[in-house]
Amino acid sequence: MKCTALESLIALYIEGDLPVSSRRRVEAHLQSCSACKTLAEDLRESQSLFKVLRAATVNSSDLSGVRERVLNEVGDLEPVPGWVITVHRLFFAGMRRRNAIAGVLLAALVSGGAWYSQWHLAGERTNEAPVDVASFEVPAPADVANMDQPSVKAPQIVKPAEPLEIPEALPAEVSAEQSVDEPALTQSQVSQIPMKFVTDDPDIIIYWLPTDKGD
Amino acid sequence: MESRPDTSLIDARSLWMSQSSQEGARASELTNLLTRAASGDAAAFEQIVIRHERRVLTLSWRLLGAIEDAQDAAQEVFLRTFKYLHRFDAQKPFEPWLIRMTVNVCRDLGKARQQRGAVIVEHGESYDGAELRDPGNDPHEELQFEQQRQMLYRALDELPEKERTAFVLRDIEGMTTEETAEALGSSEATVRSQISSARLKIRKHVERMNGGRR
Repeated sequence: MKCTALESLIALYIEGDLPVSSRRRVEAHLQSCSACKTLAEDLRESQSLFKVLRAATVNSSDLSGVRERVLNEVGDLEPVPGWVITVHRLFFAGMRRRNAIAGVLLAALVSGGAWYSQWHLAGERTNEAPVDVASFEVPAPADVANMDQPSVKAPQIVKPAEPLEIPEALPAEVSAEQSVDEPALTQSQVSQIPMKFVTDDPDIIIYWLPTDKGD
Repeated sequence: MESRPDTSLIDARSLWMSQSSQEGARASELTNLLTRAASGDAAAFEQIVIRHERRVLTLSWRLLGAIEDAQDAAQEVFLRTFKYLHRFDAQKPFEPWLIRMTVNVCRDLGKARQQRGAVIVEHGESYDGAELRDPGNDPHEELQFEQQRQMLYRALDELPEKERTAFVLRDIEGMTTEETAEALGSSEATVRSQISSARLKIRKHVERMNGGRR
């Protein structure tokens, strides 16, 4: 065992600051190492010198001087209002101030975040483009009843900033889907803007990209 | 011969009970004083100051070195105590709270002093008015003690601030490692590391002052 590694442990050992396992290790080492034994004796000696300092204390005139200054200053201070004391005891009693403040901040952050997300969602809903229901002919009730689940809701019109480039392969797929899920629409309902059908199942969204002919 | 019953156990128990009841009465009296002082009762606050002024001023003196700085620190400690007493939880012990505040004030004052570039005045030279609890009648012994005291404080002044604070609290004030850690707002492991390093440095300093034996 290296002595330099044990120096700091010996410095703790001489005042009983070590746990039992480390104490035994140091004691075993001290029995076999004379240099460390001398170090322990020197440390004990310097520590005993410092214990003498416990006897030295300040004199009474200095104490009374401090007291006088403090009481003069306190006389000029406004006492803390009673309601502050009550509020403080109500909210922070039995807690460390730091923890109490951290708890209040955390609660404020969580509730603020929840409020913001609700407010943000509500804003998104109001900003959504209104459905052009007038130009859309609702299928007859009989047709709706015959439709497979999931049911199709009113279409939402997605207005692109620029005209969409429709890939060639897409119309075939769309028309295949359309034949299964969508009710047949008349030529008058066809427009140049893509339409989005939202179903009850969030995984299924139907996009309708009509061509000039309304396919 | 008739044997008398052993009353030593009963005596010890009654002594313990009377001591604990005295401590309880003292604690409840202090709680009462603290509550009154928090509401602005100056007379109650004066009682608190009288009870704790020696501990606060002595600790400040040991931490800062000069009695003038220690007096400023003690004044600031009691003013902060008055100002923030409403934040103190009266169910907890008061002295650790006060000691922690003293350590913080002394730390602030020490930093301010360093920023000002002020020279640290050594304890022995700056303050000759220290009272000794066991004053020796022998002037030779008294002189020897004074020289020793100055040497030890010089060794203390050489320590880094954190190590010195931990050492003063643990080894001069006689607090436990746990109490020291609470007063410093750090862990017990950190305090152990600081006091270990401080003890080794002080031992080297003392050895140097004694002419070096090794």
